[in-house]
Amino acid sequence: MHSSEVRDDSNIPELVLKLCKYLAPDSGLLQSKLTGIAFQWLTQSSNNQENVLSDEPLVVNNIHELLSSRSSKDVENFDLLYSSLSKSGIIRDRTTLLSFLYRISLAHHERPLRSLCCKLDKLHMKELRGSKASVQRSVNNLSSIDSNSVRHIFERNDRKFTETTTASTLARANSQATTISSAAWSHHDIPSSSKASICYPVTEQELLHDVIYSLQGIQGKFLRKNLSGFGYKLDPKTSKPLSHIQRSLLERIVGTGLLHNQLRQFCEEHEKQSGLICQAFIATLNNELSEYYKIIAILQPNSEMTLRRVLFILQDHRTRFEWLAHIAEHCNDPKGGALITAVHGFLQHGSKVVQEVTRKVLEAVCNPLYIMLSRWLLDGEINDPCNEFFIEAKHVILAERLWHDKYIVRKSMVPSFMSMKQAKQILASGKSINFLKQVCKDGGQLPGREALQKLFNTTSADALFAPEQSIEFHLTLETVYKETSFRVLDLLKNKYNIYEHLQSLRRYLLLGQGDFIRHLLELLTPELNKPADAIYGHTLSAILESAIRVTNAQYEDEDTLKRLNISFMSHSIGDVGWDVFSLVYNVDGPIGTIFQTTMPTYQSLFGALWKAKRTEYVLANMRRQQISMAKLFRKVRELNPVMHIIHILTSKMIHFIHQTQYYFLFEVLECSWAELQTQFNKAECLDDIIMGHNSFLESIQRGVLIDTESRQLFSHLISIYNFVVNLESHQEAIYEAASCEYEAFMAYKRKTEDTERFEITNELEAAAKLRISKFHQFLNTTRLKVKSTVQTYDIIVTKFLELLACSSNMKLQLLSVRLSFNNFYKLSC
Amino acid sequence: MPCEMITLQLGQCGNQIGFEFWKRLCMEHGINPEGILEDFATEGIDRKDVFFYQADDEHYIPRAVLLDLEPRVINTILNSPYSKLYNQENVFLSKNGGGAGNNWASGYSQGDKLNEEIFDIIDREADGSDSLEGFVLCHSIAGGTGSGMGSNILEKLSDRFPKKLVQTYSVFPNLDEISDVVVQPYNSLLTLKRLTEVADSVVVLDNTALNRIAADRLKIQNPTFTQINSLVSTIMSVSTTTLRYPSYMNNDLLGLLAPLIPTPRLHFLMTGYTPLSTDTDEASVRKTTVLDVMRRLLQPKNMMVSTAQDRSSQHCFISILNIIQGEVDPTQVHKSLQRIRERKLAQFIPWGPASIQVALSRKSPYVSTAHRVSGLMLANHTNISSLFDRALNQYDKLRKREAFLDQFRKEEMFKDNLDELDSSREVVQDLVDEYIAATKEDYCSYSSKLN
Repeated sequence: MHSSEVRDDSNIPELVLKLCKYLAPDSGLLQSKLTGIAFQWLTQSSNNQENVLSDEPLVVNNIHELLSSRSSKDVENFDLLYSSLSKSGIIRDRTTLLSFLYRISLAHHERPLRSLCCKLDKLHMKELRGSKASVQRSVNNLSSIDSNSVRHIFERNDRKFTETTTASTLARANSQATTISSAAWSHHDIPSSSKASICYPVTEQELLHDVIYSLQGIQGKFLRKNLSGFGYKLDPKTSKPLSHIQRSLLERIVGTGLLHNQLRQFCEEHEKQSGLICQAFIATLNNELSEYYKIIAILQPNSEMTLRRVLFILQDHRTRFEWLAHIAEHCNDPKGGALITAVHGFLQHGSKVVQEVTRKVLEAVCNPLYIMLSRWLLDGEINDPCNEFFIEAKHVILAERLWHDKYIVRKSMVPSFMSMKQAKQILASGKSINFLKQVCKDGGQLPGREALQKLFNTTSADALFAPEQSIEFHLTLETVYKETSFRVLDLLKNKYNIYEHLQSLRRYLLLGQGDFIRHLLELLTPELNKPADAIYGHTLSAILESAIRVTNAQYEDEDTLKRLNISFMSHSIGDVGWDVFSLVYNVDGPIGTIFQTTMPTYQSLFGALWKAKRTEYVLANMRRQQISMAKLFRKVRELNPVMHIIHILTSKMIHFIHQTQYYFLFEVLECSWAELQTQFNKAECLDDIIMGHNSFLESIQRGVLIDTESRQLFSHLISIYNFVVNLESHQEAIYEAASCEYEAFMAYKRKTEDTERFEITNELEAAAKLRISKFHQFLNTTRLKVKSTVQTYDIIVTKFLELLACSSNMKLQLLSVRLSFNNFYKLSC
Repeated sequence: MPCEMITLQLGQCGNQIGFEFWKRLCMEHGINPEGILEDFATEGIDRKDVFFYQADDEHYIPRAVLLDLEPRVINTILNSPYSKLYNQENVFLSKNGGGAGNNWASGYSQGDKLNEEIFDIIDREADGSDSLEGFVLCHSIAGGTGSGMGSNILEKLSDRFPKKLVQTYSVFPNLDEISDVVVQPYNSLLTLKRLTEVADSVVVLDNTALNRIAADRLKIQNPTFTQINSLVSTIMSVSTTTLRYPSYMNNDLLGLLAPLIPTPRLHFLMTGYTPLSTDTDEASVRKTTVLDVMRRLLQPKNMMVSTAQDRSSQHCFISILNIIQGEVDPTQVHKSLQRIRERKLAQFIPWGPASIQVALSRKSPYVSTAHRVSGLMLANHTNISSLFDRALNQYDKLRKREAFLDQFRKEEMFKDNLDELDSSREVVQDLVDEYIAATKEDYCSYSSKLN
């Protein structure tokens, strides 16, 4: 790398050759001519300057001296440009460059300053927007590039640009300088020197005709459209007499024609396309084109007009067109918000010109969006036949689904100057309007409307993206969002009593109203023991009514009680009432929005908790029977051993079910409820509540083991419940047998007491004995059965506790500890 | 309303604690002494119907039956501001009016004779309830009426209502002072037999411990009956809060008792309460947490039963239920349980799973308390047998001397023999044995030696 900084004059001829080869790639003759001119140049200037300038500060100093003799402003200007140049990484061999420029300046006393500054300026620009500089050159190469894609050209040159070596950078920098300076002195030198060497069979006027045609998309004598139909190439036959310089100028001018054709093509292609935003874009392009046509109109092929002047006049338009074409290229496919995003990307460009062009386009394309936005925010209406808006309205029949499904953010249509969060807030603001209007039938004045109206009256589309305005604009939108959200929340909280509904759901579907649930269980048990198809809904409804009437549920709000009902899930053969019964809570209207989707979850939670409650109830009844049996059959001592085992097993089960329910209550329901309350109180919008409520349900699902991860645990739990029902049947059998035995015994006793001793026959006595031994045998087998039940039960519970202990859920580990608080169950893990 | 409870208060002691109990319930439910619901209490979330029935819209009447053989205490009640609270038809005074003379046998036989009249009242009350859960009996085991007539009524109740629960709040005599009732050991033993055989749950209120608590913990030198009874009424009311304030769990008496009582005979429950304070001494109790409350409940000094502290014995908890009231963070409950488990603050039975159950219960909004958190423990502890052991010892001492048996022989039951005393001793001894057996791992294969 550094070797290139070592000044080596032997390099120069080589570089000059390269440069000339580059400028005239096809023609050896032209190339050699150019080389000749270049060498003449170089040697001339070095003759004027005796010393070879090898030191950069020295060169700079020389330039300073030269400039300061003219004006101090130029010195400053130079300093500025020089410092930029020093920072530049592109130009490696600054000294050579500077000295080259210096020498040129000395050689042309007339205008050294301007050209020097101009040169540096161009170099600087080149660094800043490398691609732009490349475009200029690439247009020179158009004849060799067979592509109509501007993007392609950009990419190609970008790539080329990064690939360049130090040497070629220098070479190109030199070539650039040459080209530019040649433009500067074209009037004086080139014609004269050309005249000396080449004769002109074609006049500029002739060429101008062609040029003006070509700029409007018409081909002429020399300039023929190339294969792609956009660009032009020189007709090989007619253009033979053209000089190299003419060719070069033509090629540079017709670049603008190419861009014009492209833009026009774009307009024509997309004109028929619907979509307001796209139309806005095309309208902008058409505006630009008509401005351009006005310029073309003043280009007359008269004596004052030259190709170079054309080039100069078109310079501005050409730059704009380049960028417009580039933008159009990006906007070929996308529409609506995506199109805006594509345009907005260009706003980040460092060049003022690009920014200005982009801003103009952006303002135009944002205007339809801005109108749609105002409609949406003010009235909640979407008028977007071409699906360009970033909010989409779906067709939703159920009012309950309006909030969830009707309006969604079209991600692809969110303009890049808007964050997803902002888009969602805008969605929520308009959605809230519709929710209030359609679901809540709320005709009240919406909050923040004046501010919004004012905002839309005082701003225009550029408020969306222009940094200085958009902050305030988005702030207002956020305020409106907050106020609207609050209005929705306020209405749901205070008019539709959402909190009270949450409480009701907790009380009834999550069994919080214990006295009611207990009584309902008691009343339902005989019915639900029947096969599912033998149960009538109206019977159950009547039971529900009476359970409400005698418990504290009677003090419940009328509305809540109206919503409470029983439900019968579809049943299959063999199902009993317990399998299909469920309580339901009807949610419609505004609160349905929050609760409707969660109803299946509530059903499954009810199912899980109800099963536990039922098991508890069965156990309580068993215990009740045990208590009365202990009194009733105090005299039947034979019962004691088997009943003792049953008592202890029952108490194990009671311990299990109570501890499990305590866990459900304190670790699951209470804690989740506390969290929900917190979420509820700090909610800023309806979605916060919906989210809080959903996570409330999720945490309960996890807690009561009905989430997908707990399948194994839940099936264990169910089998433990089944043990209870199983034991109940044993106890029932014992109770029956004991009652029979007791009655028979009493009858026998009465007989023995009432009658004379001799009347008791042997048969009677034998029958009594047989009966007693049968009873004992029954008790013995039952005792063995129960004993084995105890063993299996302990194994299953131990397994369940082990599974809990191994769970990743901390709370379940704690449940395991709770269930074996005194280490009765020895866990192996 | 389902799960109603009928309260029977018997004798001097039973009526006194009953009176305090109803005073407290009225206060908690916002019912004034005349049975009228206060205006501020109409929107309550409580269940008044468990213990009261509604005469009309705002008039509530206790499901209480007041029984005594002598008029003194009942007359005090009827002359108090609360006289109009009770259903006058439920107040039964023996026309004889002479009392039972602190004699169990006299009380028992009078109860037998008055049986029909008494059960007219009880049946009427039972018929007046939708789904009767059971009976609560308040009495003392040492005197004549509460113990003797109480025993008789307990037997009759279990015959007539075999499927209803019978819970008693039984006051055990103060052993620290010399009683003027010389036959107290006989009375106690005979009552204990009934409590063992026909009651389903006995909440033991040990006057020895209550007096000690009043003296040591509340710094009352000579506690009055009223002060002691206010302690008792606190225990009674708190132990019924879960029935009166519905929540997810423990909404009926059986649900409350089932986890506490594993086998039917081991149904004698101790109580503990914290923080203890009287009206005069509230500031001394510092800020309490759930853990504080649960830890203190396990300390013997807060127990309302004076059991012999025998370190060498294997005595242990069969079950514990802590009813916690006040501002409790549910998440603290488990942490407290963990701490208790880590520090082994409670010893449990080896033959089955056992743990401290917790019920977080609502507090009456109409009664202000100085404490943020308070707790009642209902515990089934094998060491309660030491109380029965003591009763057996005292009985044995008296019986050995054949002392004071004449009064008993006057009554029908003991005219011919003293078999009833012997049988009672057997039953109580068997109970003690079963409690001892319950400390051992092989309790599952335990069988009573009684036949």
